[in-house]
Amino acid sequence: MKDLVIIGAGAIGRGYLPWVFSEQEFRYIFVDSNAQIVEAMRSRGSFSTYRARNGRLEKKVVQVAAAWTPDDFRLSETDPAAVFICVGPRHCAATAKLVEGAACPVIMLENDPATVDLMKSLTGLQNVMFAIPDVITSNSAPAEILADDPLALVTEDGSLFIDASLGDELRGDFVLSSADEIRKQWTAKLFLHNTPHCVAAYLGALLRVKYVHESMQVPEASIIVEGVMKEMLNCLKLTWEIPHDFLEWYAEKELARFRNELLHDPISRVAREPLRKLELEGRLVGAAQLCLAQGFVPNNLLLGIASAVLFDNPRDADSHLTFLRRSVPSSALLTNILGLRRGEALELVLRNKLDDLMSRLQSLALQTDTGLAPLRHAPHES
Amino acid sequence: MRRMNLEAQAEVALKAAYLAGELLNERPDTIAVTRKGSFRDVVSDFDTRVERYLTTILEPTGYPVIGEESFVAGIGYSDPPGPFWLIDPIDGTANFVAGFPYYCVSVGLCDFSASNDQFLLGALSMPALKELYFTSGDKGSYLNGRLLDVGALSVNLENSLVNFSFAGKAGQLADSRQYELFGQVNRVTRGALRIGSAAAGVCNVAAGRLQGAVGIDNKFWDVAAAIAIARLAGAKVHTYRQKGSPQITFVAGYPRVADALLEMVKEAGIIP
Repeated sequence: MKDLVIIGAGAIGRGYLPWVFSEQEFRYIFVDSNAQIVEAMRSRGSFSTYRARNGRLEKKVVQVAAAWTPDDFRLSETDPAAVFICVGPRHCAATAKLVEGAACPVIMLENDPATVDLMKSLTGLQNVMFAIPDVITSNSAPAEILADDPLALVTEDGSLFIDASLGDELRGDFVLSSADEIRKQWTAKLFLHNTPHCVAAYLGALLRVKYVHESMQVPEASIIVEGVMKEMLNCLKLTWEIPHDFLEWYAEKELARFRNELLHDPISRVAREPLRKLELEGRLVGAAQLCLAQGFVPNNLLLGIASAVLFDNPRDADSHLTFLRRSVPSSALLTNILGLRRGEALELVLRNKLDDLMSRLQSLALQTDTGLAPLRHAPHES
Repeated sequence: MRRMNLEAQAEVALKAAYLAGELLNERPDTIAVTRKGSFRDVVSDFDTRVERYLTTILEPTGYPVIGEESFVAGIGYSDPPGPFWLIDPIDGTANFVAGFPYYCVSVGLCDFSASNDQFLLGALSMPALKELYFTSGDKGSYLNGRLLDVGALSVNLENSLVNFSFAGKAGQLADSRQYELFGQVNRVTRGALRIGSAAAGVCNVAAGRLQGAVGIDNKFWDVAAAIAIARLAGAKVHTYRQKGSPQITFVAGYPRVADALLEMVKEAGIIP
């Protein structure tokens, strides 16, 4: 039996991949920089992942063949059928040394196609490919499940699209996809999933709720998220030749996902690293640029950008955004931090509106009674 | 002594550096300068205007403010007994006058009362390049919001680019010794540069663009902010200063490069 080496034992690596690749065919080897997770995997020898399907949760117990921290891991001591990298785009480069010399496929599940070229250039490997997990996987679980198994996660019944260059090297419940199909799926995921999903999370953070579905239960937030979805749908129809019925189906599917009460998708996970999400070509600023290029001002998305700028979690890797917001005027955030060119369309729009949008959102947060206890960041979500 | 909230002071420093940098964006095509000492040590109206502006923002913190231009005006110097602001309204005035974009506004908070000089925090604006370097308390150093971390980068001296900054006034150290060292470093690295701003050199080490920076008999306001930024970015910074003196000699760089450069500076007899 061959090994599946999963670098990054978080939501996708631990919660979702075991539903894609059968334990009858592969032994699961995990590598994670969180020594507590590695130690828990070693001592328990297994963990549970739950899949939300047809309105209920299915449970799978995953046997852990081995768990390592990056310092202890040696790829040469495994017999890998494939290596999956799911550590987050910012940490990809650090994993390069772990896969040096890999003869098997290295599959990047990183929500950023550029990580494929990055990994190729850092390792000299050619068998590196992009894959899109079209799924929401929480990096946590409801308290009653965690009481049984602190490593438990909840995922959806999603789809995994892997670049067809993989060939027939692996067997599992995934879709081998042509470059055109990958491009279509990625475009939809970036702008119809990532964009409104993170807006839902940033609004939820302002409303001090804990999970994305709770954010969607607040009418004011839900209206904004639905507005973002409409704007992005309109934008994509105008920008790319992707079948409209596919885009509309995708948008509907995503809104239903965001409302899924079974997922317990933490705001702190979806909203983390706001500066990455505000990158120039990314899901917020890049999306707004596209809308402006198509001739309309995406007012809901601008609220989403403002909500990201307001994100304030002292344990987040980008917690210095709060420091920046207190120190420099909004105009400096736009040019020096977001990297907009002074005088370009989005900079002009936001220079005029950002302060007002942030005030509106802060008022909304103060006036909205969610009926829920204030958010407390649990240690495992940091 | 009151307890310092480092993050709150870092906010003030960043605000001051950014807003003062915006003043420099009002730079006209031609700028009148006067010489302070040697022909290359010049001051413009902007230097004095920006220093006044910085002082206005920093004084309410209650910590003394020492700046390049007020110092020149004859206030004099001895090491303050506690934390104090060290500011340089324009590091690289000659570049500023020429329109060469390596010039910056520099705001550092220091404490020289202990045996080792403490560079507590720094904020630095390079307005022509739209670059903002800053420390946020003791959490880390950032360039335009991006975390800087060069501490684990292992580069040999021969693969390094190294900036030099010399004394503004001729005669403080024999020019020949400085340039001899410059030539030696140039021969064993990818190049020795002199970009005309000590602070910009050190910050570019923190940003991972240069691998080393050497400053000989600089003024401490030139690099107070940059040293704090570089250290929190994981760079190694060796400083040499006599208590009570505004002169500072430093070597900064990726850890291995800084150590190698330090040996060369010592062998050149520039520091003991």
